Amino acid sequence: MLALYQGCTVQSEQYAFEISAKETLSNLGIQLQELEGLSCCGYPLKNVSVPAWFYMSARNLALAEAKGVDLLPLCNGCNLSFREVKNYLKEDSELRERINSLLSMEGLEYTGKAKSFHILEAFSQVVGIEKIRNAVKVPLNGLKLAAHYGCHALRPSSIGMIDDPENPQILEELIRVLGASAVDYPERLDCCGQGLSMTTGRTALTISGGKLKTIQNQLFDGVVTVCPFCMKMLDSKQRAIRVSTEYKDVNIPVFYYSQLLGLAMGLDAKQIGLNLNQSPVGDILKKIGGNKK
Amino acid sequence: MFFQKKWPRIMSNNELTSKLRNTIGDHHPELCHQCGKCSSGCPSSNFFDFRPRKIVAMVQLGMIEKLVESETIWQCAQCLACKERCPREVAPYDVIQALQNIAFSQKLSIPNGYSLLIDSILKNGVIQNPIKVRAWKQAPTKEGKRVEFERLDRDSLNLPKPTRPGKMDIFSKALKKALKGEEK
Repeated sequence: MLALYQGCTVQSEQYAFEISAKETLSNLGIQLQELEGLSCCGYPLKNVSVPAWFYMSARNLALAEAKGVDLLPLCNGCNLSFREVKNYLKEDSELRERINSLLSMEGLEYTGKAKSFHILEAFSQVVGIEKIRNAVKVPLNGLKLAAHYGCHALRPSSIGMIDDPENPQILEELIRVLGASAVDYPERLDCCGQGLSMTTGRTALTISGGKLKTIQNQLFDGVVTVCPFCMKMLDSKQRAIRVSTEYKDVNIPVFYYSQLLGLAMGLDAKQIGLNLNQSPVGDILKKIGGNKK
Repeated sequence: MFFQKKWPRIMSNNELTSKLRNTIGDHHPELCHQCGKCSSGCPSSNFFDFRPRKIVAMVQLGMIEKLVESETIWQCAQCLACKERCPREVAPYDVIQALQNIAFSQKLSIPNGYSLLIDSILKNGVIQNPIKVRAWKQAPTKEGKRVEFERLDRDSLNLPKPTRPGKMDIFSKALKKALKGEEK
């Protein structure tokens, strides 16, 4: 059983991911469990305190373990965080004891039973490609889309991530099954720059702007991602990019994969939170036969 | 620029070196043979005098005190390309993360944003409470015709109340211990 783990960004502002993931998964027959008491995964604090990061990730995993469920984080960073912490705690029993002494204050214990699934694994393995193919009602024929995985979906491969770190195909496969084309482009694995937001916001915007500009130049109809931090940069910050960087004409639709899947399944724009996207998503709606509602 | 006010350093350079070695992570700076693959794929290197290879070289030379007091270690975009691509399993990213952890534990200058994150997590369990976001009434297009917007939140979108730690006081207490490195 999978329990949805929203993560800080999705529960506080990237609502479209939560809406579209829940809607598409439930339409595909996946029942998600509710889990109480969750907190931040700790990833934002790993740069200042590795023990704080371990405590928070292990705590969320221990909550899942106590209910006998696995976590489905709606964020590349949260998924990486859980996998990395699981890996460290598996190898180091002394570390596990130290973290468990903190968890025992709340009556929790981490043994490592609960797993963490990436949303792309949920779609490709838990649901399955064939089931998705059969659920397509409005094929997205003629759309040329750029897959943006986000760094933390793929790296570091040493702990077992979702696909080949230098030539992943899972997202492209999931896009193609909807009828759209997903071709390679040289900047495919480049970072969105979000990691620099806290220290130098304009540099972060310039990195995002550069990637969007190059995608636009290669005549893609839109960008597809699976990370709320990448989405925040690529979708919600296009106006800021135009205002404060050299990329003055960046203007391209950006979607969560779950939204694209929802469109292909024939769901209404609002059922998949499409009204929350800030980029010009109307262009895609026109191309696939208009916004029905 | 983004630094808090400076605090005096507590440990000597030698002590810092051994602290680096003992900070959790996959880092093996001693294995680096300076091929430069990390710097060549680094997104930050286009914008700053930030080179993972140079940071690892400075660690090899024992220049820890200079690194932990510098702004440089905070210019990492955390993309992990250096860690992924290193042929010697040095994991430059983990070296940088360990240096950042030392700067924090020694009460040196760190970016202001981290104090805000820590405060919010200690208070709410998350880095940010739900906010109202902008939503369109007619889908925006590239022609940029003016569209009407509304502000929506979790309630108006029929989303459930987000989960939080049940016992916030115990959560904060445990987290404070971890932040001080007193989790034993």
